Amino acid sequence: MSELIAWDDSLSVGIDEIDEQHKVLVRLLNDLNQAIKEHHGNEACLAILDRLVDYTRIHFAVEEALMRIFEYPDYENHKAEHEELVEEVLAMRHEITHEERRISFKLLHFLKMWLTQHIMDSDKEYSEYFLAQGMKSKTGKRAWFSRIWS
Amino acid sequence: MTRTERLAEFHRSLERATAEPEFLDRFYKSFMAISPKIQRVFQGTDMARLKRKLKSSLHVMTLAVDDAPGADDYMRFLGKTHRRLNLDPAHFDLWKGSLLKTAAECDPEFDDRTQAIWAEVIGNGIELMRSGMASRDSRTSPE
Repeated sequence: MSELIAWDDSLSVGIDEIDEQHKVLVRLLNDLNQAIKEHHGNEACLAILDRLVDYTRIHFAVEEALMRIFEYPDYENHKAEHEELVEEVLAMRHEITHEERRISFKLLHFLKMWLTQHIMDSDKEYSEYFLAQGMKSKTGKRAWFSRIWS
Repeated sequence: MTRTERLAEFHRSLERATAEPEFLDRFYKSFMAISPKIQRVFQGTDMARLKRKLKSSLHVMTLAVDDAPGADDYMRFLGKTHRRLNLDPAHFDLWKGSLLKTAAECDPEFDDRTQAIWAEVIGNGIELMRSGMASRDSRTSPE
């Protein structure tokens, strides 16, 4: 089955630690795509969506913490983009559970569009800044998140 | 002309227009000259960031006209996110006007047909954004 998003270098922000986290987001979206295509049912899809939301919140918290540490000048705008996405997805989730709608490809493609645009546009801006401030692109160690998020 | 042909023509025109290094600067200069309110909205904004956002928005607008999955919902979502800029929905028309004016100045092959294609692509995009901005219930539907 073809993947919704195939990871390639165009999605890399040039910092391994962040790339690893983005790859988890991509993987969860691909899992959701597969679950919808194979008709796993709304409950199974919602479980993946919840996992995606949980993970996304943690990932956003990491990014925002780094932005504060590095005094990233566009912190407020970037944080607002995160908050708007989480609010949107939670609103969609509410509609699914309270109006008995099914998770559809429409939602999935919206998330794909948001993620790819956000990484290639907003995230690459902060990564350039972090690297210019001395952050290392590679640490030579396994990304912390992959140790606790299987 | 089919939609595919019109989109291909839009891409060619966009490429010619943006080959002019001053395209984005000229656009923002034209747009901000319209009113003090617009100037205030962008006061202190990182222009390099703004230009990257514009390029990205133009890209998604072409996807929306091409019915790419998720693009219309994403444009509506962008409209909602513009609420925090305290923009008036009417500003979208001014934005479109400035963009078409700049394209006409920078694309040496710009003619009435090209203008109609730009108006179609950009008009569709700003209608989606305006609908997102206007309605608090316009979040992307799971249907």
